[in-house]
Amino acid sequence: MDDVINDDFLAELIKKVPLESPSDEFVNNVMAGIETVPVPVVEQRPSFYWLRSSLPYLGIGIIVVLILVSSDIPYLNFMGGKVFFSSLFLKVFQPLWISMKALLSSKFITYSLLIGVSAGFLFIVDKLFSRRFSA
Amino acid sequence: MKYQDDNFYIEKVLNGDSSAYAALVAKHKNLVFSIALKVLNNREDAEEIAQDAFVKAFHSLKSFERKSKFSTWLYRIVYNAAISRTRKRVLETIPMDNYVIHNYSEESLRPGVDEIDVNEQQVLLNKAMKNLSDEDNLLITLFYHGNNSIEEISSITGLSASNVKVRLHRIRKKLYDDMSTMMAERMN
Repeated sequence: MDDVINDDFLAELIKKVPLESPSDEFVNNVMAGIETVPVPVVEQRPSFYWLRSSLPYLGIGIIVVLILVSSDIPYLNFMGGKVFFSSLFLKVFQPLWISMKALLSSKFITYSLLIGVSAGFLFIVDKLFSRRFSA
Repeated sequence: MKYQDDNFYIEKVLNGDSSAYAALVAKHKNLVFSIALKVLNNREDAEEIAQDAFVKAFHSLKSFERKSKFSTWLYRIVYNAAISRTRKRVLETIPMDNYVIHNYSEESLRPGVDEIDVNEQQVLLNKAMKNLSDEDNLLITLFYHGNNSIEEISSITGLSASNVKVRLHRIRKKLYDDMSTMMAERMN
């Protein structure tokens, strides 16, 4: 099949047919185009970017661990140090619990606080995630 | 003007000498423009697309891996840009079964064409080429003027290598047929 296409006679004849030419200014226009089109600058992310972008996950992780450790869920009893952490957290947060006890005696205030804290938590998480993905 | 190998200019451009690109443009402008013109059939559009292709190639030169020739890479850029502009479908694929070459002989393809002088052959060929479709002219330009191999044309146009072969053979036969017919008309 290659022999059928490789025809020197026709090749020579066709090569004598001049190709179409663009305008005389073609080369100058291309070179002007090269100079005017700005080279896209690739924005370098800061080296600590991974730290900033992992903050939401870190925050959520800490909260989940705190909840699990300080909860009374029976199947978590196998966790080593659970008792220690529970007592530690209780000790650290005891003044806070005591001061809040009076506050939480009212159902209305309790529910308001719950909704407010949950909304605030969700707002912060949303902000952190949107900052992560828009950066 | 005698040009150096493409890689000579590419190295210069990559080393910061943008002006070396002008030589590459000058070297390839006619073929790049011809490819765009064959697809678009409009000189202004073809010139714009050809210019854009050169500018795009310049900015992508760093990513050119040199697995193919620079010209093949460049022709593919301009061909794709021209096709995108027309929103035309890519070259039609011809099933191999539809085209079987029977009893091929050089003489049967070009009876008498050798007997006339070169100038007359040229005139006949010009006329015969005008009877070809733009797509066929594009393949001829790539194969004969651009010295691209079947595989390179396949890579530029997206046609399979066997289809490029079939089409080129068919074009060649049509050119000889048309030239023979025109020659016979002249003699009568």
